[in-house]
Amino acid sequence: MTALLTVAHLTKRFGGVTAVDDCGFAVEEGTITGLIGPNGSGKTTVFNLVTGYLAADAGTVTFDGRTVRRPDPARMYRRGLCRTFQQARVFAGLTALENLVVAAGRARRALFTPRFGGGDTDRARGLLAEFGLSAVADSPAGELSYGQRKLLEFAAVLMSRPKLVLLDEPSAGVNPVLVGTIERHIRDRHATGTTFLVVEHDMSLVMRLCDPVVVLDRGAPIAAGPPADVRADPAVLDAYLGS
Amino acid sequence: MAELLRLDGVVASYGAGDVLRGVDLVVNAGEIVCLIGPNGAGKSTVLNTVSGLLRPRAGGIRLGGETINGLSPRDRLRRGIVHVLQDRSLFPAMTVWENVLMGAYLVRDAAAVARRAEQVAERFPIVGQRRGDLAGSLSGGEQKQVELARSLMLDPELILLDEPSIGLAPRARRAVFDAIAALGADGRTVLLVEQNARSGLAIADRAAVLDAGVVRLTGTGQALLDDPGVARLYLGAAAGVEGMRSR
Repeated sequence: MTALLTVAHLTKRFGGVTAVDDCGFAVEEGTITGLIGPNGSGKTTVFNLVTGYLAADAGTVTFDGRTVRRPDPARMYRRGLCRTFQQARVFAGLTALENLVVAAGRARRALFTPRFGGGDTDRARGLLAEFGLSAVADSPAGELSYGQRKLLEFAAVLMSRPKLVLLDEPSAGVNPVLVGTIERHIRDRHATGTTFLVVEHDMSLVMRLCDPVVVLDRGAPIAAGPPADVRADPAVLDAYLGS
Repeated sequence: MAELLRLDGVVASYGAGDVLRGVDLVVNAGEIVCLIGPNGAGKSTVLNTVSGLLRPRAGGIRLGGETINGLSPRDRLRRGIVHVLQDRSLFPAMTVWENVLMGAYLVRDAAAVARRAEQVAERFPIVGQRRGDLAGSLSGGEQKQVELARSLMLDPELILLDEPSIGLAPRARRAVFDAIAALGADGRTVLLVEQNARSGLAIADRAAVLDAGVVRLTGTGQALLDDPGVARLYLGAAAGVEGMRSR
């Protein structure tokens, strides 16, 4: 297997706090890699550095064979790297349906052609139905609840065709019944070749879904490997799971 | 048990469609009541109508027998309703201690406020331990503890908690549920919204299932946990969420 994403010596300081500290790990192509760790261990900051929402103080990000000196969100997206946020970011003024159709990533010109959207719209309606959002398909996304926005953002990822998807706590605030639907979609996409890096606190989901699992503590990995090994690692129990 | 909060046929909306379509709910004094249900069911909206962030279009909300429909959020706070929001709501550039003092912003007597903060710090040790640290430098779990501490500053009659465990790592999540259970043991009244439904029900005296803007079912927390229909529709597969809690 080859690494689709490699971060090396990644470092980010906020004032006196080093949030990410000489951090290095790889996401192999074709995996669903889990990234876990205590609150404040630097998981979301790593996401922000990789996708270019923040500039690193040191270190490199290599995606799909190319080392990117200064990642930039739009450029990384065009190259096939897509992400979600802990607090979902959706286009508040567009309807739920429009949010999904836009995410299909057609050329900008096509947005203004009369035949725009046919197949995408059908697919979007299908996804809205699966996530219990049909009733709000034509409501502005800004009127959706926290959990509904999370589901909408996840569905938007499914509309696009990325190589690598970074998911930031996909199950947080989502009704447990729909967590199974999210899981199924991740598996389906994975089966067709998409690679995932998932930050998640629902340990049963991580254990079912992810292999390998990387454990971050104080800005750097303290363990990595198959889920069964990681869950038995004393350092992980101590830092993350507690007794 | 004395009835503290009562919602009768509450209807509420933010824009076009009604989010709440006639909610009936009772919370007795000293109870932890947990509200569960699908995304978009209206759980947060129920809390918003109780704290006054959203005015219902119809229906009645009573606290201790008195109608509070027309009261502003500030007046409801004075009556003892405190609302801990879903998003992190500490002031990140203020210290932990300053944040806790802000919980008594309505009180002018600085000495009384400081005394009260000391009492609160006994219940939530982190407040004393991290007293001078900027709130923004705390981890998510620590911030939630401080938010819970701050909510006690006015010695509230009713605490509204909107998904307090969201985004927390397993250990921090357990600490938050322990803290809420401790509030219950102190005799506090809590109305809790939680998507970690199994954990929420486990610490609740009573619970209600909200779906599409109406209460479908109420019962003790344990009864709802044991109900196969509730499990299938609202709780998902019996999760070994705590499956990694070994040793």
